[in-house]
Amino acid sequence: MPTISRGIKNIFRNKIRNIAVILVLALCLSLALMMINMDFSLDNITKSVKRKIGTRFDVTTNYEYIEELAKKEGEKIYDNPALFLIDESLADEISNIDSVERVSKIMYGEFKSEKLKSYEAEMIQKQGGDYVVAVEEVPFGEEGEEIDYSKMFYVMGIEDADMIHQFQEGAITLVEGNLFERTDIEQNVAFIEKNFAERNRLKLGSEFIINNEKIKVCGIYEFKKIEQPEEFGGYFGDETIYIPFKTAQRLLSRRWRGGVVADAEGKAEMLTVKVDFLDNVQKTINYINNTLSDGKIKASQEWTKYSQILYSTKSIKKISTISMISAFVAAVLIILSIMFIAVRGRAKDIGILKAVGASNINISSQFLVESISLCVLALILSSIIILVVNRPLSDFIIGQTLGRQGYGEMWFEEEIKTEKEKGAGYELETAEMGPGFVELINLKIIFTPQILILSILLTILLGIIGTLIPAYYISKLRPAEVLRFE
Amino acid sequence: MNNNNIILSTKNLNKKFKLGGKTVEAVKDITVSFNSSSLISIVGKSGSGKSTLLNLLGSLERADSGEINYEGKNIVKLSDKKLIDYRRKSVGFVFQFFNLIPNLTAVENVALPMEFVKFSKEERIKKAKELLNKVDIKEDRFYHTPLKLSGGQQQRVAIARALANDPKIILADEPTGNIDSETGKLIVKLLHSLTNEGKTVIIVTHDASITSLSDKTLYIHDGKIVEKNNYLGKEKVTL
Repeated sequence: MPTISRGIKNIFRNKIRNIAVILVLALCLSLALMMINMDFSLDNITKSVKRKIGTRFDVTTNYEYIEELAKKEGEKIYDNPALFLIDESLADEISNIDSVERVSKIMYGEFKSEKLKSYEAEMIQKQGGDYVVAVEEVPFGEEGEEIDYSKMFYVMGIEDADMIHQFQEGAITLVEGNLFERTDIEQNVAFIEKNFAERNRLKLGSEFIINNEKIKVCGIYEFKKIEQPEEFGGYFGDETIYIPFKTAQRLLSRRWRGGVVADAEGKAEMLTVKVDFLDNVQKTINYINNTLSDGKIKASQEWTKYSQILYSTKSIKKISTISMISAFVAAVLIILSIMFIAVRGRAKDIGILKAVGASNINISSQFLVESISLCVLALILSSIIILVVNRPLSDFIIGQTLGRQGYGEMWFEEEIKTEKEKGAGYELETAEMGPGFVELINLKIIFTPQILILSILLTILLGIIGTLIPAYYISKLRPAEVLRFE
Repeated sequence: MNNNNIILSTKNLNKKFKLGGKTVEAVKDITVSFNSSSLISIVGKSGSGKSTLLNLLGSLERADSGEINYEGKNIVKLSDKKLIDYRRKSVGFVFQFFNLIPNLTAVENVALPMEFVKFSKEERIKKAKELLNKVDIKEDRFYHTPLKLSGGQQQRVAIARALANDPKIILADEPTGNIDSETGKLIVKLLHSLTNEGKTVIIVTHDASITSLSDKTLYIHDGKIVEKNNYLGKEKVTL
């Protein structure tokens, strides 16, 4: 105990110097801790993105093959909708691969309805001419027909709801009724979005028409709403109508594109494949691409949005790791220097302590207490610095990194000054960038218990390192030498 | 001289130092003995080796060769750990420049050596106060730091500290060298009084008032004892 009190008392022997040391140490420690925390947070984002990617991958038309074909046969081939469909039988072949647990077929498309009221139609009604809805020719209407998107409704035919990204990522939550099962694959049932249901007065059990067939509402889901300013319509949402795959195949069988008709019978737009282990993902992808594909289809997990976020987190992690190491090394150098100065300045005290019977360990302990106390005070101060600097600094690093990667400056320098100002541009763009992106931009450094323990351990380690030079000096000091003179 | 009364003795004690590339023989082949309950002065010119001899006796320096026997045990061969124990329990130091810890109070300075011999805090403080009373430090000075004490008071505190663990030997290196002569006399008197309590006080000094009170005076020149004015009378040592 006297050793502890003496160590603490010694801090006050040179107040101005020690205050300066604590300040500089606090800056280094706060930077190191913020960067450690950022590292942890980035790891969590990476893990979460990887979990989301998980053991699933998609099989679609090979767009590189289509591009090559266009070079040979001309741009006209893009008008052939059949090129964008894949054979349903491929799903069975993929199912036979040992590592594959499940293959889920997806068919999507749009239908026109004069009776149903879309979000766009509602906005036209509310805002009149101020609200503009895209009107264009093709791709899904009769040749030459103009498409009024306020009358178009997006449909997705699925086999398993849990294989759909939106479900996996939590964008969709079922609030009423049930999802359909695989056994309902040919039933005329649907689960629809809550706002869409309210706008069209549809309830569980209600019926509506898709391409002349009655569809019964079996479930109502809520889409995670993203607020946007009034001029953009209030919110950004998704009102996709989910129906069983076979039903979609039948209802959307006539596929038009630039006047060319393709039959969707026996076809799928995409297959989602789930394998047993993460390690088997790439192997299975390679097997499909090398063995089952004739070049027209491609299995891939390289979704741009995921790879971008992983690339971004990796870049930011590099910066945070370098900053963390530099800050810690600086902190080590500072504490070593200051303790060296302290021990040199107190040679006489050490001599006295040795003369009155203190061992090297007794004396070193006193310096250890002093060194750790300095570091603990710096840690306390660094917590305050972290509270103030954390957000701007992480925003700066993330902003700089994303800026360099071509994500633009709009979020960080001009438009995104407050949460409220983020608005549609931000949310839409970040939503486009995919899962993890919003988390990355909003990365908050929260001191978890693990980080708190790590901070304390790091501070103690720093304090121990600070005692290395004093301990060596103490062991070498000859008391007789220093005690003879004033 | 009664051998049974010898508490500390040296035999062929040697110590060399390297100084500016040259080897200096600070202590050469010294054989001497110190009786318990006596005051011994070591006198010599500056650089004669008297302080080195004192430091060797107090184990602040390790001898190159020879013996230092404390109560019959050669401390030169002791391990570092045992030497620390010897410093803790058997010897107390008093220095010319007092060497008190500047940010500790008088009580804390006196209590300091007791920390290393397992006294409780209360015991340490109690004994420190007793010792301060003994060396005639007034209570209102107990919680003063050394800078607020006069030279004489500081030296008294230093003597109290030397007595903290009740050692049998007090080693004092020019204890009156940094205080006025009147205060010096009081300090000498105080040190001398310790012999009545069974302490052996060995003092390195130039002060004639100390030598006159000494039971034994050793004269050192160039690391060798050249004359002993011992308990039985003056004895010339062959150089």
